[in-house]
Amino acid sequence: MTANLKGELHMLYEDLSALAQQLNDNRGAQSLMEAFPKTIRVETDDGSALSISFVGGRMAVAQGPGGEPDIIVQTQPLAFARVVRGELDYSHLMAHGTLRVTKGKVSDMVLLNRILWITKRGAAA
Amino acid sequence: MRRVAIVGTGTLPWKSRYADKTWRDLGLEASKKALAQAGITAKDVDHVTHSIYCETMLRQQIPEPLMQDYLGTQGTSSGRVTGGAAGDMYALQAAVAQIASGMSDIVLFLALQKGQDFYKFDTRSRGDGILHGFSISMDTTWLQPIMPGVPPYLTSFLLQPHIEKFGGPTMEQMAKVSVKNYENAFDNPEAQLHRKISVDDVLGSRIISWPTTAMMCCLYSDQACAMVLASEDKARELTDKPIWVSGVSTSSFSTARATADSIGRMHGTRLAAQRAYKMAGITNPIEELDMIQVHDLIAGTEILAYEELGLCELGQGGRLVDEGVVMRGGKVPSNLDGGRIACGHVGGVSAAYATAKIVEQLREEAGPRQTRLRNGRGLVQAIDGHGSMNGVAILQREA
Amino acid sequence: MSDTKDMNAPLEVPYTDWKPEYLYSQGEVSRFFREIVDNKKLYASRCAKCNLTWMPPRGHCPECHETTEWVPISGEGTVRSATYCYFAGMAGDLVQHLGLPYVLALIQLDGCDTYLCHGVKPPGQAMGDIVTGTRVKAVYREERRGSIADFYFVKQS
Repeated sequence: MTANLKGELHMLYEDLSALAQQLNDNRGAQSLMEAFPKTIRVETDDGSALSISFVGGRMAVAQGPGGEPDIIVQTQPLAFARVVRGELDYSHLMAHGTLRVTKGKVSDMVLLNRILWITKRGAAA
Repeated sequence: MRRVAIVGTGTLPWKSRYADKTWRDLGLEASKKALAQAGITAKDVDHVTHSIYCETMLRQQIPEPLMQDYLGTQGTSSGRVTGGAAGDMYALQAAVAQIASGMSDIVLFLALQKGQDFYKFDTRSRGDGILHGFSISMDTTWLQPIMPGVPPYLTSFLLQPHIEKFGGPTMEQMAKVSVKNYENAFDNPEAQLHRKISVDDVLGSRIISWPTTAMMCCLYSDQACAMVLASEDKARELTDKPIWVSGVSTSSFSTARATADSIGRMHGTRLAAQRAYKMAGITNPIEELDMIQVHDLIAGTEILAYEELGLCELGQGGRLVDEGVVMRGGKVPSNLDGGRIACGHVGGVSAAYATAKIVEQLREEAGPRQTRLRNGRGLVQAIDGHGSMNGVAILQREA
Repeated sequence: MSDTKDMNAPLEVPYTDWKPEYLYSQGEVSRFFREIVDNKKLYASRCAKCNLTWMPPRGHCPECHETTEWVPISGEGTVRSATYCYFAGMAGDLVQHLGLPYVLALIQLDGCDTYLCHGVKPPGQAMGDIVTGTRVKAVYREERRGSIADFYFVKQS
C-alpha cells in the first residue's frame, strides 16, 4: 500500500513539474500566479508529501514536505492527478471526501484550480 | 387590441467583452441593423422601448436619455422597462401594448447591457468583478449578505426541491442540456462559444452548488439587440414576412414567501405562459409549437421550464431530453441559438436575442440552422436570477 | 515592434472612484435586527387576521396588509432544501466569514409558516451532513451590526 502511494505521489510530482514548465511560460498564468504567492503542501494518507510554491509569478514543485506551508491539502495522489490533468475539478474530490484542506482557506483551492487549468480551457470560472 | 408584428431585427455577435465599444456604441449598432432590416430610419420611429436591466454594470444611472441622444430619436416618446434578467420580456410586453393600444404605430425596441467593464483588481479577474458588482441585484436586506451567487439561489429554491419532489432531473440529463446547447452554439456564428463538449466535461467541472456544476451555468456577456415592432397597417407596408407577437405576458411571483407548495416550482413561468397561450389561442403547446427558447441560467431551469410551459408533466422534463424531443431535429427543439449556457447571456438582452432568432427561424432565414416549421410558431420564456420575474411571448408567422 | 502607436486602439481606464457609503434604516423590521444585535434572539412577524407567521418578517402582512405583531421564536428549525457550494463568486458578507464549503439552505424555523433562505456552516468539507430534514439552530456572530449576516445556522448536535 505504502509503496503504491509513494509511486503515485511521484507520478503526481512529475505531472505537476511538467505543468509548472508550461505555466511559467504563459503570460496569463504568470499574472494569476503573481496574485497568488502561496505554498501548498499536498499530503497523502501515509504522511508522504510534495510542495507547490508560487513565488514572483513562477511555480515550483518539490518532493517532500518543504517548509511551513500556507495551505495543506490531504488527498489521494491518483485522484489529485485528475485535477492536475484537467479532468475533474477539486470540488468533486472534496464533496465526496477524497480531498480535505487541513490548513488554510478552501477558497484558495479555487484559485489554485484556476491556475492549474489556465492553459487547458482558457480562463476558468 | 390591434395586432403587432416584428418587422426588423438587429443582432450582434455575443462576446464576453466588447473592448472596442461602449454600451452606447452597442445600442446604436444593433438599432442601425434593425432599422435597416425594417427599411426605415430613426425618424420614422414613434416610440422607443429601452430594455436595460442594470445601471451599476453600465457605470451609469438613468442611461436611457443618453441612448436616445445616440439614436437621434429627439422628441419621441419612450420608456425604459426593467425586470431583472427577464426584463426584455417585460419590455416586449410594454412595446406590444404601446402599439396594440393604438398609442404608437412603430416602436423601436432596444435591449442593451454591458456586463464586463467590472474588474476586481486584487484577483485580476473580470468574472469576480461582475459577480461582486451586480451582487446588489439580489435582495440587499435578506439575501445578498448571505448569498454565494445566483446559481446557488436557483439551485436551492428551484432545482433541489424539484428533484426531491418529482425525482428529476438527473445530473446526466442536465449535463445533456449543456452538451445540446454547446452543439447548437457551434453552428451559430453569433454565439460566444464554439466548442464541442461531452457529458463528462460537464459533470467534471466545478461544483458551484450541488448538483449544479460550472458548465451547467450560463455565460456572461456584453450585448445589444434591437427589433422594430409595427402595427398591422405599417407592417404590411414594410414587409411581406411580418412575424406576429400573438401572445405576451409576464408574472412576478415572489420567492421570498417560500412554502412547501412554492419551492421547486416556477409558478411565475406557468402563469405567464397560461396568459400568453390564451392570447395566442394555444391549447396543446407540445403539438402547436415548433421551437422554444428558454432561460438556461442553469441547465436545471431549462428542464423545469419545459414542465412549467406545459410541454410535459412535472418531473418529466428530463425525459424530453433523453427522448430527443428538445434536441435539434426533435419535435420542439429548445435553444437552437445555443442557449445562455453557450451562446451568451446578459440580463435584459438574452430573451430579446432569443426572440430575434425565432423571428429569423419563422421567416425561414436561419440558413443551416433552419428548423422544420409545422405550425409557424415559436415561444420565448425568460426568468430572472431571483426566480421571481417571468415572461413568455409567442411568435407566429402568417398562416 | 512598430514605433507608431495605434491612436484608435480602445483605451481602458481604471475606475474605483465610486464607493457608495450608506447609513440606512431598517424601517418597520428594525425590531428584528435590534433583537439580534442586543439580545441574540430571533423574532418572526405574525398576522393575526390571516393566522400566518412570516419569515423573513415584515411590518405588514402581504396578504391582507394589516400590521403584523412580533413573536419570539426559538431559532431552531428544519432544513427544507440544502445545496453545498464550493465556489462563491458573489460572496456576501456571511459567505466570506464562514468560507467554503458554504451550504445555502431554505430553513423552516419552528413557529414560522414561510422558509428563510440562509447559510449553514457544515461540520465537514464533504457533502452529506446538511440535507432536507436536518435540524439546525441559529448561532450569533461576535460582532453584530443589524444585518441578516449577523447570525447563521449549524446542525443541532
